[in-house]
Order: sequence, then C-alpha cells, then structure tokens
Amino acid sequence: MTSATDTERPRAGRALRVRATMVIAALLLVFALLTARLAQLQIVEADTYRHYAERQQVLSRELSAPRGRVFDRRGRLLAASVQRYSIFADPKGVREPDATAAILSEVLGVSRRRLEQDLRKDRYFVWVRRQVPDRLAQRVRRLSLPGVHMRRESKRLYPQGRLGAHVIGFTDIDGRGLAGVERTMDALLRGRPGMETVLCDGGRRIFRSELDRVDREPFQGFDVHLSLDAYIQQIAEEELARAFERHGPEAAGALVLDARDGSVLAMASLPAFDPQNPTATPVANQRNIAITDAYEFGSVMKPFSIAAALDAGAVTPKTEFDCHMGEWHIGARRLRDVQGHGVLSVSDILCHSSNIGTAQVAMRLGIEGLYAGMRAFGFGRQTGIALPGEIGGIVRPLRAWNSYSVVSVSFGQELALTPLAVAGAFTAFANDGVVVHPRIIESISVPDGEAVYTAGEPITGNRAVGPTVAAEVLHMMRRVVAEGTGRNARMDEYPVAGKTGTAQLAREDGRGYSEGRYLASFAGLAPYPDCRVVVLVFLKNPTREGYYGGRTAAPVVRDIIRRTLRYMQVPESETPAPDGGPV
Amino acid sequence: MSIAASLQVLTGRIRWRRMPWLLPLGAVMLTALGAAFIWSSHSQGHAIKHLVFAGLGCAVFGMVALVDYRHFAGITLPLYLLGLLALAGLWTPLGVTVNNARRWYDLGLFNVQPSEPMKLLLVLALADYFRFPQHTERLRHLAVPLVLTGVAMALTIVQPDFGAALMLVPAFCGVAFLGGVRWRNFALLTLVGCVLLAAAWFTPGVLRPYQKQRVASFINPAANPESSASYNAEQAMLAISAGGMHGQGWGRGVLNRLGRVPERHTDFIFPVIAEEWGFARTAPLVLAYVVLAACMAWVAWRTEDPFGRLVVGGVLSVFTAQAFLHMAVSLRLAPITGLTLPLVSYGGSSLLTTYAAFGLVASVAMHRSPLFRGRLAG
Repeated sequence: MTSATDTERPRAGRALRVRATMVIAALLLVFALLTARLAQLQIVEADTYRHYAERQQVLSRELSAPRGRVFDRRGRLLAASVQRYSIFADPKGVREPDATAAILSEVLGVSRRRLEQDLRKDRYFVWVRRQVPDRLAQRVRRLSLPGVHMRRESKRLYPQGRLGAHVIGFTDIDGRGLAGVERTMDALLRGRPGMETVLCDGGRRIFRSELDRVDREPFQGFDVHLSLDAYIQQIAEEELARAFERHGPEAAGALVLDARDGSVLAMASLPAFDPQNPTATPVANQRNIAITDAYEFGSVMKPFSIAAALDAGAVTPKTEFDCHMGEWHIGARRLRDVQGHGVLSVSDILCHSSNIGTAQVAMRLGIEGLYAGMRAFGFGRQTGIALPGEIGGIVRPLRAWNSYSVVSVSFGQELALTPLAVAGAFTAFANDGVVVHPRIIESISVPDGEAVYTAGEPITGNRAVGPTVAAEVLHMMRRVVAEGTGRNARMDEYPVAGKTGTAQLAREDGRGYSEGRYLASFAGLAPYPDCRVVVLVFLKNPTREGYYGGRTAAPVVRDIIRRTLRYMQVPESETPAPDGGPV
Repeated sequence: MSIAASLQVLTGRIRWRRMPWLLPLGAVMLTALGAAFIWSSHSQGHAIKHLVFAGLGCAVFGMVALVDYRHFAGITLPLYLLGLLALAGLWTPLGVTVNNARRWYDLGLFNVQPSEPMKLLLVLALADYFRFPQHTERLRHLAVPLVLTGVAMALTIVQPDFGAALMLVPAFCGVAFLGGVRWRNFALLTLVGCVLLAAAWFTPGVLRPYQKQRVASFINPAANPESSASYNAEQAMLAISAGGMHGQGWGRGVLNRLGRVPERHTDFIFPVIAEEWGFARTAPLVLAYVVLAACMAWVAWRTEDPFGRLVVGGVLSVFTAQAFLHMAVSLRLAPITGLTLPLVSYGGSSLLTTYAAFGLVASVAMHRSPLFRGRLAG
C-alpha cells in the first residue's frame, strides 16, 4: 500500500488494518481449530473411535461348524454333511417380483404363487429354496437377478438312503438332530460354531475387507461310530421286507444283536421312511418300534419263566407235568395248547410251547419267584440304549398281580416289553446267564482322529440265571428249532436255538385282547451252542399266509442268521445239526 | 473504436507481476484432488466431469482476471438483479425438482445451480455499495445491503437450500466488516440476527423438521441416534477417525466403500479424504485452504481501491467460511448444513463460480491503474 491512502484517510486506514488483522487472526484461529480437531480424531482418539467404528459397522457372524459324521462299525459312511447353496431374496432389492418369481419357479421348481407373495413382502429376507444342487445354483447365479442372493449352508446327506433310517434318524433343514442317533448325539455331532467379525453395509450385505477376522475357529462335530453293521442291516431290512410283502402285517421289526457284547448289529422297522425326506411318509413311519412300542410277546417269554424256575430250583429240566391234552381249567379260566400233550418234561414243555405246562412250572416257582426272575432279566426297565424315545415297558409291580397273573406272565401276557428289551434278555443264554445291555454307539472320535469314547467292555446287567441254567434253557431252545414249534428256523448251515411266539395283540383301547390280531415273533440264537448273534423278528398282525410266529417270523430269523453268520465268516456245520447236547 | 482498442479498454493495464499465481495453481491442484476423491467415493464419470468443469473454470478464471474488475463496479446491481431473476426462475417450469428441492436448471448436458453465482453477485453488489465510506456511517445505511442480502437469502431458503442461503451471511459480514461498518451497528445487527434466528426456530413452518433435527442432533447426538442427521454425522466422524495417521489408501477407505454416508462426493467428501489419506495428508489439505485465504488476504491488504478490496474480502469471506463449515460439519464442530467443499466437491456451478471469484481476485491484484480511481470513486 502506498502512503497516499494513509494520508488521505488516516482514520479509516488504521481502522481497516485493525479489522483486516482481526479477520486474518480469526481465519488462522478457525483453521487451527479444524486442524486440532482433525488431529484429535485421527491421532489421539484414533483407537477408541476405530473400535467404535468397528462395532458400528461390523456384524458378528456364526461360522457354521460342519456337523459330525455317522459311520457304521466298519467305517461305512451313514450320514455326512455337504455344503450347498441356498437361494434367498431381498424383496426390497427385487425389481420385478412377478417376473423374478416366474423365472425362479421355473428354474428351482418352487411354487410360483408363493414366491410372488414372498417377493412382495415388506422384508429384507425370504428363502426361495434352500440347499439346492450346485447345478441349479449355477443357473440362478448366471441369471443374476436383482435382489436374489445365495449363501452356503450345510446339508445333511444319508448316502445309504433309507438304510438304518430309524437308528440314524434325521435332522431338520437347519441341521438340528430330530430323531435317532442324530438326536441323541446331537450335542456331539453339532460341533461348536465359530465366530467371525465382518464388515457390512447398510443392507447388511457382507463386505469383505482386510478388517475381517475370525474370532473363533469353528470346531467340527465329533464323528459317531455305531455298532450297526450296514451290511447286516441291509440283510435284516431285505429279509424283513420280504416277510412284510408275504404276510402283510401292520408293522414289523427285526433286531440283530451281537450275543456277546450286546452291540446292535441291525435294527430294522417297517414301514420305513427316507431320512432325506422324512415328511414324505406318514409320521408313524418314523417310529423306531423296536424301542418305542411295547408288546405282550407271548410264548417267546417262556424261556425266561422256565429259566427262573430252574434257577430257583423249583424244577429241573426233567421234572414232568401233566399237560392235560391241551385243555386245563384253572379256577374260572381255561388254558389251551395249540397241540394237546400228555405228560411232558420241562424241556418238552418249551419244545412244544405248552401253555399248560409253563403255567404249572411257574406256579411251582411261585409268584415272587416269577416276578424276581422277570426283573432279573431286565424287563420293565429301559435298556438305556442311546436312541430317543425308548420306553421301559410294563411289568406290573407284584402287589398289582392277581391270582391269575403268575399264569399269564409265565407265557408272556400281562408284560408289555419293547422288542429290544426282549432281544437283549436273550443274550443271557449266550453269556452264562448274564444279560448284556444292548448298545448302539461303538465309539466317538474327533473328526478323522482318535476316539474320545469307546464302548469297550460290554455293560452287563445283573446275573439273571446261573451258567448251568442258561446252558440248559439254550439247549431247550435248540430243541424248539430242531424238533418243536420253531422248525422253520432250522437250516443245514448253522445250528439255531430259538423260541416262537404268537400272542394276541392287546386292543387299542386297552380292554382285553382283540380277536384274530396277533403279534407273531421269533427269537433265535446261533450258532448253537456258542451263539454269536441274537435275532428277533416280530410281525404285528400278519394278515396273509399264517399268523404263527413259527410260520411267519421263524423263516425270517433263519434267513437273517444264515446270511449274517456267513458274512461274519462263522464256519458252517460239517454235518446236519445234531439234536443232542449238554443237558 | 477498433476491436483491439475495445479490448484495451476492457482489460486496462495488466500488471502481470502482481498476478497471485498461488490462486489458480492452488485451485487447479485442489480440483484435481477433488476429482480423485470423487472417483473414489462416487464414480469415474463424475470425476471426469469434474475435471472438464475445472478446464472450463480455468478459462473463466483467465477471462475474468484479464478484465479490469472496475468495469463491474457500475453494473453490480443489474448483475445482482439477474441473479435474483435466475433464482426466481427456478419456480417456472424451467427449474427441476430433485429430492424435493428446486435448486437446478436442467440444461441437458448439466444442471445449473443459480444460488452458486448468487454468492459472487451479492459480494459484488455489496462491495459496490460499501465502497463509499458514507454508506458505513449510520444504521439506516445498512438498509440497502440488508435488503439485497435478505431477498437473495429468502429466494434461496425457499428452494430449500439452507446451506447456500447461509453462505450469503459471510458475504454480507465480510464486505460490511471490511467496508467499515461501525462496531456498534455490527453488534446490533448480530443481536437482531440472533433474535430472528430464535424466532424462526420457534415459529412453526419456517424451518423444516429435518433442519431442526440436524441442529438438535448436533447439540445432543444421543437424543435421537436413529435420525439420519445423527447417523450421517456419526458415520462421517467414524470415517475420519478410521483414517488414523496415514489413512487407508486412496480407494480403500472401508467406510467410504461401505457407502454408509450419502453425498460422499459433495457434502461429505472431507471424511472420505480423511479416511483414505489420514492426518498426514489431510492436515496439509486444510493448510491449503489457509494458504489460499492468506493469498486473498494479501491481495486485499495491498489493494487501495475500496471496491477491489471489498470484492476480495467478500470472496475470501465466502470461500473460507464455506470450506470451514464443510470441514467443521464432518468433524462434528457444527450441525449438518449441506455445504460442499469449494473446489474439491463435485458440482459444476460451484466450481465455475469459485474460479470466476478467483479470477476477480486476480483481476483486482493486477489492475491498479490510478487512471480509473478518481472516476470510479467519484
């Protein structure tokens, strides 16, 4: 500036300079403030705010842990999980709901009408179709429809199809075990989901960045190894299905137990279901009737009453009873045998399945003795197998027994038992009188790694009877097959011991027995005398070609035993089965 | 008169030695920086458009700088009225409504925002008025400039564009203050302004709910954390702090890419820069504005002609006030006002106006011929 201005307007000039200086000072002050604030945010509080920023933008997401697998006793895969794409939509992001619905319903085969409704919903998320095959997912991806997205999900697969479905069970679409081992072992199979922290935008779309981090690695679920043998299961299911076809029962079941350690080698129920699609069949099909239903097994129970009498010393195998030619009045009731006999030894009584004889044996044993004997075999309690829905069956307490109960119980009435409990009790005859508890879990291991649990030694219950008695009754049962009611279970390859059963089914309303409806059953042990397997087959109300257990169930047991023992490489007999044996 | 002679009159005697080179250089650098971050935060297309406008801006700068600014002295009022006409014309079918606001003329290729040149036109008109010392003496002398400012503000507020209207206040204050309005009167005006503001706040219908919301959430962010004003301010601040010392790198700002903050290429470009560049390079950017302001202050300081001095003062005032408020909003030192960062934010009208304003400053710096002084001052 020149001094001319100053001299012309000295006052204004000085004032102006004051003001200009003030403006400049204010300017500097103000921008210094900005810089200070910037420094505060970016340097001093960078960490606290960064933390805050992350919490604002981040989404903690579960990293799904792969569900553990289920194997059979020989390592065959029964259940496993695979990663599949699931298609979902963000209705707010869908541009043309109708067109989108039309395309998706065409590609994915879902209801177009439902989709049209869903895509108009006031939501940010609707499933379109979950866990689709990769081929379809690829097609949907190529369409790149606005608002249609996909995510990875775990899908449970059952590579053996329907095989062992009642044992393995199934999961819901979210991978929660709903039935079978999938349910009882759910906590172990499920594993522990991991957690990751990811950044997301306003629409909660995941936004990959270097700030992503895994907080906790997912831990894959444990592998469960069943005692089940898929091949024996296959045998049991095939043979059972054949009988089902032939005799037309309402339901049927087959159990194959390792006689020595109680391992369940096969557990089949019909009608069955597909674990991949359990809702396609009636819900009743999902019942594992070998443990969820209790039946009065009838004559199959006679070996237990006789064993109890023998063990108590009330009778010997040679003790004789008059069987009154098939008709005997006791009090107001009348007992009948299918075939009339005169005087029979205890052994003969079992061989010919005489109700009259068995009743007299039990009466000699006495009411307390019979009750104690039945309890000693584990009846009236759950076996404790690791499967859901097992019931304990009904053995009424002694004080509820009436004068006739000793007779009824002796040949398997007034006792409602699960097939598994009965099959399990038969192991006593192969184990010197000690009942082994059936078991389904062989071991549990970390994925492809070492076992964290092994079933180990068989879990034995009480000694039910002494070893001599066990051998005696087993011999009697050998006679049942060799010359008695169970001759249909006889074969050349392996000596079989067993017992038939044909019992009237209790009426649905619980009042007495229904006329003409039977539970046909057969329990077999083989190879006699060193029995390796116990096989129990039962048919509920067979409608065609006979209803006797000896006629309908025994051949099934025979065929299962033959194929199973061959598969187990048990040497076949050189000569036809001998009739005799230790007594 | 020959064309050459007319040009001679128009340009007057140019003193190239006095050209404030920092202004155009700084402007071009800031504009290039703006293009980079418009690309990062919005799109490459907008960045290129921004650069095209920068090119046009340079041409405007050159033309305005060459013309002797004193030629404007006589026509500031018609220019101002033209500006008012443009603002009023937005309500004719020529104006377009975007986001419930009538701020633009749609010229096909681009939109024109008349409130931007209005800032400069008001500065010119006010400078033309206050260059006479007798116009600064009494309170009643303030009536004319207040009306000029008030009408322009009213026409801008009704669009509504609160930010642009607000920028007319520093235009008035800057020119009036440097023009020599008495302290007493200035204090009085400030008081009246405060009373009017309070009245506006409590009179229903004057301020829109979202405007009140912005102020409320600035005063107490926790009161309504779900409101978009709180949210935007919050996100802006988070982005800035996420930048830290060195930033996350151009194009790699997480919060920028998340797109949580709207208007990242205009009203909220500063947080994007701060997040991606960090303090180490953002603080120099703040400094760049100080340098530009200082450059203009230097020009004003050296200018004896009151009109020139007041024009430069007004430009300085508006430019720095806008830059400051933009950054202050992002740093949560002020409520959200919806102001662009001059030269950096996307917006053709704003860019061209800023270049024109800088051209005017350069013109003031380069034209000091005493030949005109007596005539214009008379």
